[in-house]
Amino acid sequence: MPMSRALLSASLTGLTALAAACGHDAPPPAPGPDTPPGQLAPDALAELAASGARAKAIFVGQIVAIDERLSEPDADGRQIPFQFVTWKVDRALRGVDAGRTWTGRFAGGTFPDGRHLSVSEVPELAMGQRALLLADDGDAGACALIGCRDGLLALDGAAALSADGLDQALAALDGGAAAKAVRARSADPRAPFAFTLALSGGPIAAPPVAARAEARAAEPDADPAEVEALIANGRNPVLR
Amino acid sequence: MRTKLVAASLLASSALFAAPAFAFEMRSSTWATNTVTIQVNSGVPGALPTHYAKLLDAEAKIDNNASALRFDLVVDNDAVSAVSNGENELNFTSDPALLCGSIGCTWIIEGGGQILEADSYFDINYAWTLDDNKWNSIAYDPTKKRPLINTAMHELLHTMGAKHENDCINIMGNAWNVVSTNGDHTEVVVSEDTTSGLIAVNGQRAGTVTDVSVMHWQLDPVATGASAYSAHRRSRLLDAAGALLPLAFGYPEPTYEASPGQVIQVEMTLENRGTASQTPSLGTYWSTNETITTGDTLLSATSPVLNVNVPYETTRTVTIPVTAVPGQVYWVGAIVDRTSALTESNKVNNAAYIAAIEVQ
Repeated sequence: MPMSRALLSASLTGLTALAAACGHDAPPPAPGPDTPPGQLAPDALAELAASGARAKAIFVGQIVAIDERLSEPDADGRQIPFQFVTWKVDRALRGVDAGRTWTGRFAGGTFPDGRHLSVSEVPELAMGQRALLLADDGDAGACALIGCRDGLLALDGAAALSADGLDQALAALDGGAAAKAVRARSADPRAPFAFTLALSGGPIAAPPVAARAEARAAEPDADPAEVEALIANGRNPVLR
Repeated sequence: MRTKLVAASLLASSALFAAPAFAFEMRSSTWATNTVTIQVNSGVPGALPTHYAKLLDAEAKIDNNASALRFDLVVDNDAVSAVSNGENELNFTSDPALLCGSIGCTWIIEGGGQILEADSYFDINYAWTLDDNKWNSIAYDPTKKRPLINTAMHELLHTMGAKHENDCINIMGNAWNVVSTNGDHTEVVVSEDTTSGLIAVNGQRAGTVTDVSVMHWQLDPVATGASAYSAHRRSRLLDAAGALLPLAFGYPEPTYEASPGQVIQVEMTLENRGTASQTPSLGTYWSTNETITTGDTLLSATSPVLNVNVPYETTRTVTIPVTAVPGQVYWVGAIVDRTSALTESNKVNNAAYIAAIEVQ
């Protein structure tokens, strides 16, 4: 599942986004001026910046190698395939050096017996692809990008960021000297690695409970009789 | 191993409701049987009973789909959930690796043209919305969270072979706002485009499935951008020339300014998720509240042709009643199958308010 970037950019732009901080007295979520194709709406840029703050590396790069390797056998002897994807860094904002390569590890690939593993949130990566990347350490978990699929903004293909859109995104992501001191570890496709495939036991902690809407009249302008009739009709809007 | 299957381009015969061709994204492989068993971790029903109830709701809604493929959610007979153990499993966890850095993630193993195993994980630390009240959903209040049922359906549809979608409104895109909303109740279903994909790969269900619906959400191509997920925006109200009506301030939802007697265009998204084309009655209504029923004032009526293929994003032209009182807020809404001529698997999604109007 993606982060809420697209939701926000779908509904708020420009002044609308600024006023939305005022709560329900804010203007409604309705379309504003269109953002040019290939660029990000202001709120999408804000959310990108928030993701960027969690990134150890931010760079523009092109995929120059894809290797596969199995994880080490777990306690039950199971292994799964990973892809090690190497980007040539064309333009580095932080965490990596321009002109060098950086490798990230991604769950997915082919088992020795020919079966194939794919993971819903891991982007499909191919040689030659160019992208703006928000990266974690290259050997982090099942996906080396921040928010996984959301940490990759394509620079080629029909729905890619334009040159202006890329400049806009890089400007939003420029996080200052402290952030630039962080380095992102590159994964090593030759090094053995472990990956925990199993969870033992069920959920034990009580999860957080979402705030409810009791404080708000569920439907402030409702006609109680109509709502009652609708519910009595199984929410079928055709009332008899 | 993945193939993009292009949906058959079945255009509506009515010019008013002609739909462009879109493509669903499905795996070319599918399950060996038409009923897939998915084992929910044995700790979930006891520790997370409301979450579990929502998973069962998701199962029921997916099993209403018009393809031959179903799944059966059962409680696991052991306490272990694992990728590549030969069992299809579902669990809640805080392990970011199994969650793929997200709040929901599905791992799929394919081989020999078949899906062999699927495992879905959901974030136990995420404050999921666990009811159908729109004001508890991020779709209507940005301070709230995503409804578990929408995300669960998205992930479970991954297990059925559906991939992410970005070229039409779709539960396989940003799932949280793919709902039909009437009053404060949201109703989520398997999207028409996904239904078409499931049928293309798995064949049609024996017998007849009928389900038409209306939503006040539509594809937002700009916000979708380069994302793999379709982003959605609210359907809009336009003036007679097609320009966006002025927006009124101070309301929690889209509220437009218009005058008594003014001609406006009302956008809406219609879907047909059944096994056959339909020509349902469609009414556009004027209401004093956001609950739309046939008890409200009918502004226009028509009967579009809805093929089973892709969502129909369309507009209806109506005239605001001259009796509308300036200063008051009204709602424009729609009911599909307003004459109740169809026997459907779901009637709840037949109505939606589109937007409010503050009469000038």
